[in-house]
Amino acid sequence: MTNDAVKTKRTGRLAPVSLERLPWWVLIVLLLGLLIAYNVVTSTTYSDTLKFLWVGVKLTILSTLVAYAVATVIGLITGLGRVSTNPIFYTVSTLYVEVVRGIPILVQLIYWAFVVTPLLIDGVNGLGDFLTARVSTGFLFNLGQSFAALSIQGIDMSVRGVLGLAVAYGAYEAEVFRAGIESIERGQMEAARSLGMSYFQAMRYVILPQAIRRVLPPLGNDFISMLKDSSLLSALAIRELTQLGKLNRARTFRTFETWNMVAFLYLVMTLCLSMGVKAMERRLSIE
Amino acid sequence: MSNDVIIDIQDVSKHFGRVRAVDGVTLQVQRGEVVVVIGPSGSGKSTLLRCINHLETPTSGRIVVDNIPLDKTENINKVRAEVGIVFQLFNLFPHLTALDNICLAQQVVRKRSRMEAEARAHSLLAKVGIPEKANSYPTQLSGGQQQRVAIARALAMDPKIMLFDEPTSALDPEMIKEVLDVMLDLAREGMTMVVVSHEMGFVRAAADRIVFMDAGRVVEDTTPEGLFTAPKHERTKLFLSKILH
Ligand SMILES: Nc1ncnc2c1ncn2[C@@H]1O[C@H](COP(=O)(O)OP(=O)(O)OP(=O)(O)O)[C@@H](O)[C@H]1O
Ligand SMILES: [Mg+2]
Repeated sequence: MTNDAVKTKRTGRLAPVSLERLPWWVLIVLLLGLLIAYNVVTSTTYSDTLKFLWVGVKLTILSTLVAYAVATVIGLITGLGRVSTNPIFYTVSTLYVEVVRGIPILVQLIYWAFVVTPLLIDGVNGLGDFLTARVSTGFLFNLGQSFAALSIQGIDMSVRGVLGLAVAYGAYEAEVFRAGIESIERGQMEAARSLGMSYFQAMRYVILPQAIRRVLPPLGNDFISMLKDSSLLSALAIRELTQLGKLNRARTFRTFETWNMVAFLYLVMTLCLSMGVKAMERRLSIE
Repeated sequence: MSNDVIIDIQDVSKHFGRVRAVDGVTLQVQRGEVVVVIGPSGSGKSTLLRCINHLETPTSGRIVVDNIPLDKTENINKVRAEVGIVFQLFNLFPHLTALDNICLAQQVVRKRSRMEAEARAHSLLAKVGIPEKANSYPTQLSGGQQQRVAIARALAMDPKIMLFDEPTSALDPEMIKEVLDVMLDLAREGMTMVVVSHEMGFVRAAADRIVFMDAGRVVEDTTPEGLFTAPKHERTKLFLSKILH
């Protein structure tokens, strides 16, 4: 490359941002946002829709937060199982991960709500009957009575749905944690063990603190995926954003406005979150 | 057997599949002795060293460290707490400062209070010559400084034995001396040391014995003078001529 070529390349970079390089997609999204905002302000159909959907937005966020927290705990534990040398811990974790990842989330949610939960309730009822038949007074008797009285209606559909979502995502988080743990150089575990730490202590103080930093971006991305997948909860008639969209359409027959608003609300949430994840990635790569 | 034997390796072998990394080694180290292990690449030096604190499980044979046989899990942890090891690539914990690298195992394994652990860490950092680096992270330290922190980290557990696996071979020449000086101090204080290293300066200054390994076996086990003036085996001569130029 000649000196001239180098120079033009340099000046090219310093020159004012060229048209092709502008983040056009951001501008278009902003424009759409303005359009919707304008509609909300001027049209009662839109503002009424937004008001109706707002509870759904809150439930979407709440159920995603709860399901995600549970999924992270499940994922961390089974992720540890996936790298464990204990054959039982490893086998149980792997079975869970492989089975859950092989079934569509929608099917899992339905399965949790209408197959697993009723079976669990039957089990609890049976235990209650057993207890009340054996003991006639005291704490165990009271416990048995409340067990026996528990009915399927006692477990709210949103609880079943959120748990189902958590169990489904736990399998994906497990693989994220496994990859993070395996990305830490072998020498770290060896150094920790050679100082007399147990496997558990080495994990807790040396491996996991490093692994978790590495998996923060993928964990953040999974949060975004989960927020979107929480729309599947509408299949269980849980009144989150998508379900309220369906209800709003049925109520007003305004298909166009309803789904515009629903899609836009999801987009705002996911775009904000993904900006957060990108900022986090940048910070981690600097350190 | 003299009862001052602190490491007793009896007919130990370690196979990786078909590779006989260590092949029937018998070796005894006396308390306070400095033993240097040399040998060509792949001759099993690292593997032998790692068997001593059970980072590798021997395929066969018996190792007794300070009268504790390495068989049950509790024994392995007991031995590990008494044997410090320093690696070629330092293996410091990158998410912790130099100070915390040295404090962690003291607090978690030795159950020392934070104050006790810090006091010990500061005095060890002074001993290895970098008292001002307590709050630096490993990435902010030079290779020589990192290796000295790693030595301090191992010493903080008050080990009876220190193992070194090529502690200077990843370092720039100007940093080798600062690490070797720390090791020489340790040797003078009477620490039992098993050192894999080809630093002949260290061998001359500190080694009581020198062990030459080839293809997983101990070929020669003698004093440094014996090795330099009258090596018994052809392979030893050939190897010495290579490393001494
Ligand atoms: N974890 C392992 N799995 C398989 N083979 C191994 C493993 N560790 C060591 N080996 C093999 O065992 C032999 C001895 O290796 P070792 O690292 O002990 O040699 P070394 O004398 O330390 O060599 P170097 O001077 O290169 O460090 C080599 O052939 C090596 O490839
Ligand atoms: Mg080696």
